[in-house]
Amino acid sequence: MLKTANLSYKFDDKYIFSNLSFETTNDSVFKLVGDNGSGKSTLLKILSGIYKNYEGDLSFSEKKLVFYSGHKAGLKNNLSVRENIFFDIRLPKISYSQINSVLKKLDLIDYSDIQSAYLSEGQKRKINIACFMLSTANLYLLDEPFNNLDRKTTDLLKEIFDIKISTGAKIIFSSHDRSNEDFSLIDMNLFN
Amino acid sequence: MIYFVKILKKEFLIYSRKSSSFISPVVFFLISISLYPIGISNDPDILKNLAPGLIWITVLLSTLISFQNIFAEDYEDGSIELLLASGQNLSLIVLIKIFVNWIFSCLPIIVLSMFSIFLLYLPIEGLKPLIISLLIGTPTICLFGALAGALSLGKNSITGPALMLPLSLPVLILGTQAINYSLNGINFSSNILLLTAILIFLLPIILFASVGALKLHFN
Repeated sequence: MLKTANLSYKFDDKYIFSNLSFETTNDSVFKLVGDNGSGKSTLLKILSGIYKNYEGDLSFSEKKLVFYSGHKAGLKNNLSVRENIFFDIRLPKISYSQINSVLKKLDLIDYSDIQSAYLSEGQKRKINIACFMLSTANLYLLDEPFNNLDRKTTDLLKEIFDIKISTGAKIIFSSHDRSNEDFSLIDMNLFN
Repeated sequence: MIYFVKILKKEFLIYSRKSSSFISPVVFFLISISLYPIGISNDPDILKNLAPGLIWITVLLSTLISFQNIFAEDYEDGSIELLLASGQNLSLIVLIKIFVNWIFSCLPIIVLSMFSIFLLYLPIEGLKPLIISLLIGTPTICLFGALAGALSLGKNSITGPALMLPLSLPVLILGTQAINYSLNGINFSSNILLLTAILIFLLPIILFASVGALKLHFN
């Protein structure tokens, strides 16, 4: 559904990456690995439509419904956990009961009425995971989703990956961890 | 449509919980209006003549406090990235943000400007053009503020006002003149029509420019 051909991106006349070609036909989950500054986050921003001034071709074979999650969670400090999820621009219309059931799974239900300003970084990541769970997109672009997560939430996130894949969705995420062989790897170092 | 209703509700909720967004401009306005009789003169005739200009300048400066709020927080917390990735109509989203900012930062000032009858001895016949000119002129100032805010994201705090104030001068002149015309028994409707024309003409242009300015930060 997603195909790139000779995709390149330069900043201040220096190429962050160049001639990157891949397509998401056979595999469902793609893991972007590479050193700091190799262009993992930049590629995700290009695929999500945030960065437009790339070189090369980028095409989608079907209507894309993108869910993008960057380093910054887009949380409003003076809204509660529940309100932040309810008003998230990436989500369709959802009810409070749907939000509550997701928050229970993430052990955040006791914090649902607390303003997000008072949460730890890990808990803020969990709010993003809650949005990921509730999303009905068909392409997920996640920038280092496993950062700042405890073991239990990491396992839960992997389970959610499986659920999303079963619905036919594609996931592209970045990570510094090269160990996991379950996913198709895209090594950004090869395109620098 | 659901997205735009969602954003409208979210913006109202955020502004209503962020008391500084509407209290700061109001307090600044009230303090300034109260200080003029002390600092300039307590002679009603002098204040009466200066009142239209003083009120409009104070309104303009009061709005400077709030317009940086329109995009700065969204830029810091990553919300703008999510909006860009959502593929939604950004112009409409920017319009909602400007509208809510106007409701919370300008509308209370417009209501409070009626106190200038007592503090600056503004004659009662000047009240109607004052309110009408502010109701039509302040949305244009908010538009300029949004554009300046979008252009100056991540830059020092003087860049925004430096961009916004010169652009707002025609609105300031027309607004002040409308009140002066009314006080001198001259029909002020031409000024109001000009203010309306400026608003209608600039609305799509500035929305388009603001969206462009926001995208500029990500390219």
